[in-house]
Amino acid sequence: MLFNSLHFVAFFILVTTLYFLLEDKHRWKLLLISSCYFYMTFVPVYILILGFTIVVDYFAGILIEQTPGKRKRLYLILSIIANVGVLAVFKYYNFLNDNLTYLLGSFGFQNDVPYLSILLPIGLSFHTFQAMSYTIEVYRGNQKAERHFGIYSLYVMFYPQLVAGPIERPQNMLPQFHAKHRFDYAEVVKGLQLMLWGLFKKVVIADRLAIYVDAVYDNPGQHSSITLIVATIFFAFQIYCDFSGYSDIALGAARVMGYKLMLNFRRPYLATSIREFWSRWHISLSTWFRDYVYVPLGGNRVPIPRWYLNLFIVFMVSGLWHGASWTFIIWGALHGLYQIFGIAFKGVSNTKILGSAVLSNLLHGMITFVLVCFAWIFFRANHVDDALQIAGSILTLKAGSLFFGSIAGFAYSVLWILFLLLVEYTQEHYSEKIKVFANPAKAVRYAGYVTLIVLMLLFGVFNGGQFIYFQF
Amino acid sequence: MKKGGILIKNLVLLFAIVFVLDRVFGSILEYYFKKETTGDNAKTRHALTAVKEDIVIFGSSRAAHHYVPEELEAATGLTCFNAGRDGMKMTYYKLLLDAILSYHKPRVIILDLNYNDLVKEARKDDALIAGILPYIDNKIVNDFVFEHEPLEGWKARISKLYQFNSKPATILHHNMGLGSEHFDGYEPLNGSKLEEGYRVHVNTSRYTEDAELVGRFEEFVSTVKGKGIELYIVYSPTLMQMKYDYLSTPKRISEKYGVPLLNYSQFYTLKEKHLFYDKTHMNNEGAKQFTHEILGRLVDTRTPKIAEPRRLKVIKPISLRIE
Repeated sequence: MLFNSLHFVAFFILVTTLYFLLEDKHRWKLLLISSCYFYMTFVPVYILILGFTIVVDYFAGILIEQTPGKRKRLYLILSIIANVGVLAVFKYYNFLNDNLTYLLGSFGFQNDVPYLSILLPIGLSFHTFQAMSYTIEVYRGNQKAERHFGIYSLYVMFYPQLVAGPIERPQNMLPQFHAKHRFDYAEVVKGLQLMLWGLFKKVVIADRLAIYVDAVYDNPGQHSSITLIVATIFFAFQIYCDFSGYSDIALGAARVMGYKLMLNFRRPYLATSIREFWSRWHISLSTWFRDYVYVPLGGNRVPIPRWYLNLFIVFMVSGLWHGASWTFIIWGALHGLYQIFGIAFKGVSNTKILGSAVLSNLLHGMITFVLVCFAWIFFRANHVDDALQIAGSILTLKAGSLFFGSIAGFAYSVLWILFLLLVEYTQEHYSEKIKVFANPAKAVRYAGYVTLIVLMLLFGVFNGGQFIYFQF
Repeated sequence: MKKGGILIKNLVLLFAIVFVLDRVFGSILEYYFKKETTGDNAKTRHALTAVKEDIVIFGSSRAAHHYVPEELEAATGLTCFNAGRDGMKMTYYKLLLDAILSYHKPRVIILDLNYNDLVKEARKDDALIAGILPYIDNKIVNDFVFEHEPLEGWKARISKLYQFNSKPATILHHNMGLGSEHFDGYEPLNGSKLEEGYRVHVNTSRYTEDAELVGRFEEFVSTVKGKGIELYIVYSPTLMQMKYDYLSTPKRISEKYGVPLLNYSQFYTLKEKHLFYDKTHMNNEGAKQFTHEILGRLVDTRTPKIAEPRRLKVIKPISLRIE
């Protein structure tokens, strides 16, 4: 069930209505059943995998809390092995086998290890990471083990963030599942506003851009450098609108019922450094890696070479988290290198251009965007060979005219990117002065809603398929 | 739950405003959509409601750019309309055929087949539905949409704006007199986009026919034959070579119904690349030359031209070359 489907609209209205009609003590049951249904609309049998993770981590949490000394650590390790094991089998097994085949083949040996013919469970990496954050936080003593099995299951399965995050922490969610939620008009409206804006970003911007991006990236050899540059810029906005659109709908759907999920995006393309970009992009994942990988590795409280290595490892693993493919690993590695160079040349990047902070920010923002886009080439390309071909064509300024595809579609794509940038720039710098959804005048708010709905009806692409991050 | 009542009231108000604006803006778009005289929309509208011509050409962009009605009319004395449309496939040809036959019986139909007309391609079905939603008031279109994509049909019935989804730019474009001009449906391409050192592109992609599309093709042939209309199936020229067998099925079906299948796909070589706009489409010069060529194959040119429309006569279909 996709957020951009009528199926979801009906599901959301039904679940939300029942939620407010039910007594508090029964609401968790409704949310759990509806979350199971939501997940089972993809591949029903995979609910068993989720069930396995939930049972393991539920008991691991209790055992970790009850056990003193070193055995506590043992339970944590066992729980992590179980979680990572599920990921390894369903997500990385065939990738590892592929590489083994290649490696053995280069020495003249044959790989007889069979391949698994399985579909990757939707959102596996998201709920596995969320489950792992629970046992780690219990181990660290930051969170009490949850005794209510239903509430714990809901923590892993809460439908708004089940398949593509935000990757929540138990300290934020578990108390909310125990708390009583009244119907709060203001919160419901804020939730609906978020859902509307998220849906707009998905169907009007992301899925429109996808048409051009797919056409170019599926035939990279046929296109000129200018076309590949435009397609890469389009992809940067496509993936942002696709993923942040999903997150907004998730945040909105939860908020309508009174649950506050963590912010996942904060206008990332207005960042003026790669470091800042990662404080604005997929915040729930970057903070997860910070808290559970980077800091335990020593973070920045180690000698500089080790610090650089820590950064590189974290971003490589982040790349691997996204997908079992070298394209994602290279994407992660590039961001790791960007971070290292950013630190190494901090003095240069802090220099003001012509003494102007505005000019400096503009230039740094552009450089950051170019670097992010360059890395997106590897993220989007179907294979490493394609990515190298695209990067090569761009860097060697391969001749040729600009491919438009459908001229109207191209024009809409440019128009909506400019619209998005205008909205985000306004939110960033003039949020107190210019308000639409939060405007005290009802007419202005309604004008905002109506405009978005009319634009969706007129320009939305309603067959764009699933969200990109579902595959992770 | 008093606040719940306010929420419902406000939502009703919001949707009422949206509904009114949808009707107002949708009607404005519809008005200008119907005023279009250039571009694909105008062609489809003509094909769905106003074809009176004796010869009708069906196909995709290759049909639209390869057959010059003026030339056919001059040689045969029969009127001609080229209903080829960019990006369309077998399903569209069959839909258009049903629509035309519901009010008119042409004397001759030429179906220009594309190499991938029987292959299912991502987004093509969506493109077809999006392309025909503005004509949902047409009974044939309405029945087709509700049979294949009922949800899309309901959306288009509820929202007038949705009927014209993604169309505003082209409506504006065509109402400003811009956009590809067509002459009885023929859309000339001028010049060439082929690079200096262009070499014949060999298409080695996988070829898997879709049973549904093959069925539509056979229905197309049997419907036309059943109506007693002369039918010619033609592969027009290209500068591409196919490494797969795209001809077997069309050949089998054409033989079954006794319909001539003319394969001109490799008729021109790189020596004549000046006749091509790109590797799959001929330019205006090429289209004129090809139309003359096909006339030579279709029409008994020894008979002097007569005022009265006459039956086309096949002289000799060229031999099929199956790669």
